[in-house]
Amino acid sequence: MKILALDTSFDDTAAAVLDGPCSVLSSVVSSQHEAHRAFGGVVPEVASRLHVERILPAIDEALARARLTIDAIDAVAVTNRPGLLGSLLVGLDAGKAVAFARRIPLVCVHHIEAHLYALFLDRPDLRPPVLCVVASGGHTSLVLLRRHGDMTVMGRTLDDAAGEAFDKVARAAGLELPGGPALSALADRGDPAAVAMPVPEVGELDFSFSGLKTHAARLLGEGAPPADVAAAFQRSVVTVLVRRMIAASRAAGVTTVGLGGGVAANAAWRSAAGEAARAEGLDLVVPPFAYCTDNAAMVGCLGHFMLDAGLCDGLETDAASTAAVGAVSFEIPPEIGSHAP
Amino acid sequence: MRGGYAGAVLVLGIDTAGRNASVALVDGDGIGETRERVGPHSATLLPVTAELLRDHGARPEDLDLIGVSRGPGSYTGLRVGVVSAKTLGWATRTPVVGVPTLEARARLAPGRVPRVLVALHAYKKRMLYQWFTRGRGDVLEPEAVPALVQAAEVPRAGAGEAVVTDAPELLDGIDSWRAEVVVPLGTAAQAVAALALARWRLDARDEACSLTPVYLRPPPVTLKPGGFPHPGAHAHAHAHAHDKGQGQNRT
Repeated sequence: MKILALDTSFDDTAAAVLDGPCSVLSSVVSSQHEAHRAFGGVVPEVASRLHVERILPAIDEALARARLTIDAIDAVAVTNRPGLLGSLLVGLDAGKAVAFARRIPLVCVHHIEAHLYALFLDRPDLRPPVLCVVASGGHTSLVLLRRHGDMTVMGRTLDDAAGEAFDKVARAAGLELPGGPALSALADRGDPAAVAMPVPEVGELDFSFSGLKTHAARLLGEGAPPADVAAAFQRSVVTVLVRRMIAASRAAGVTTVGLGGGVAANAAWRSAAGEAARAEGLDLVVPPFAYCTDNAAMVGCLGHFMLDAGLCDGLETDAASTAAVGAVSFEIPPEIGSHAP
Repeated sequence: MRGGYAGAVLVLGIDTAGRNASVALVDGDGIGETRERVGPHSATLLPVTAELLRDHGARPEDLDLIGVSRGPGSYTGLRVGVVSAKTLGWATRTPVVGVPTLEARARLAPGRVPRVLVALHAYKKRMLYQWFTRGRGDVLEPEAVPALVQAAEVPRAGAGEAVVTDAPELLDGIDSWRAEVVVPLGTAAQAVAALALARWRLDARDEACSLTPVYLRPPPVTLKPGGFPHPGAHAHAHAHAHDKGQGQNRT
């Protein structure tokens, strides 16, 4: 089954074509970073307008790279929740129009659930249960996949997302958007032990980065060396992300863990997570970076499993700015489950 | 044009500039049926379009032209209409023509009236208005670009003129105006289809891949070159949108 997948939940216009759940024929992401840089953050109205301009060129490009025309597409998968409403609507309406025009099934997916399913891209051997730490500019969650179609959030941030904290500290250090990679590069030149930085631990499996961010910004304001502050801040964030991953894997009794979201580009996190997983005897899955940041391939992967399970959405489906992970559950029929991952 | 639907020209008109989604299926003479649906634009537009086509025994690929209202109007509504129209056109290889929202409404005035005022409700007590003059070839031509004003500041139309408005209650003393008053009920999309067809026959290009709404104003933003603690309020809102969702899952 060939799927056209779309994601316009935040500031990237993404389209992908998949042949089966794990095989990506093309994945196109049109980033809006440049457009939002001048504003110091993503402006929803700007994002919506750019999505309108870019959605069809993105679909065209994804089909061209897959060497297919729209006539070869069997189904459409699109992110309709959660995210910026005006952004979500662009991808959703394009997806619905394609499904209507071509008389093919439409399935609407949850953005964070799709981040978890990125683990299955290029990994047809992977089997649930899997625990995934999704950390990006918009969310930080521990998502457990017990079996296909059965997801639950074990922990989440109570305030800022990890990537958001990275971006804000980067801004306080005078770095340009996107701040995460810039702050990480600065951290490589600093000494994490040179300044005091707490490891924020709240509850059992939750996260809180707001206080840490404020503390780092205050140190910068007081004239502490930016590289040292960046290094100490990054170490604290990575430490809590890794501790929570191990704690959640024990609580859930899983042996496979994964990373997802844009923060997975952070080499320090990947390396610390790898070490901790080895020590704990866990299999750590880190998708290629292009599938960690916002993309549509992950949407196509989850969409394919949902279609296999018989789920399908109507043209009346709307977008939602907030939505619970795991609210829509599904079950893969055994005859499919036996040969598909 | 293309065959398929009894050989006749078949035009789909879409108008989501106002509160409701409105769609029309018209023939080469601009005559047909319009349907309007109450509810969020995205949830209603394609279902009512599918229903309209089905009731006329037409399939999406039978369309010869898709006309869509480009604005100005509700930003979200316009985006829903423009994206749906152009993707539908792209996927069925049907040309798409965007038309100005107020100019399409002006066509709903009686044919003999030489001058037409279109006044549409924008938000709160504000209205968009634009004057049109009947020029050569009986075509209504805009006198100026649309203006957004307080309802009380909309100019009066007089004898020999017509007013097309969706909110007569907001126009001060309209009962005493000597102009003809037209309140279009569910006919907006039909006028959009008719104007798109007229333009397509004249000189319009297919805009399936490039069409964007006409926005009245640039995005409401101020430049924030940086400097914590001035968080990007919007990025913040996004984070909470996600986190709230996860929060609900925990309860």
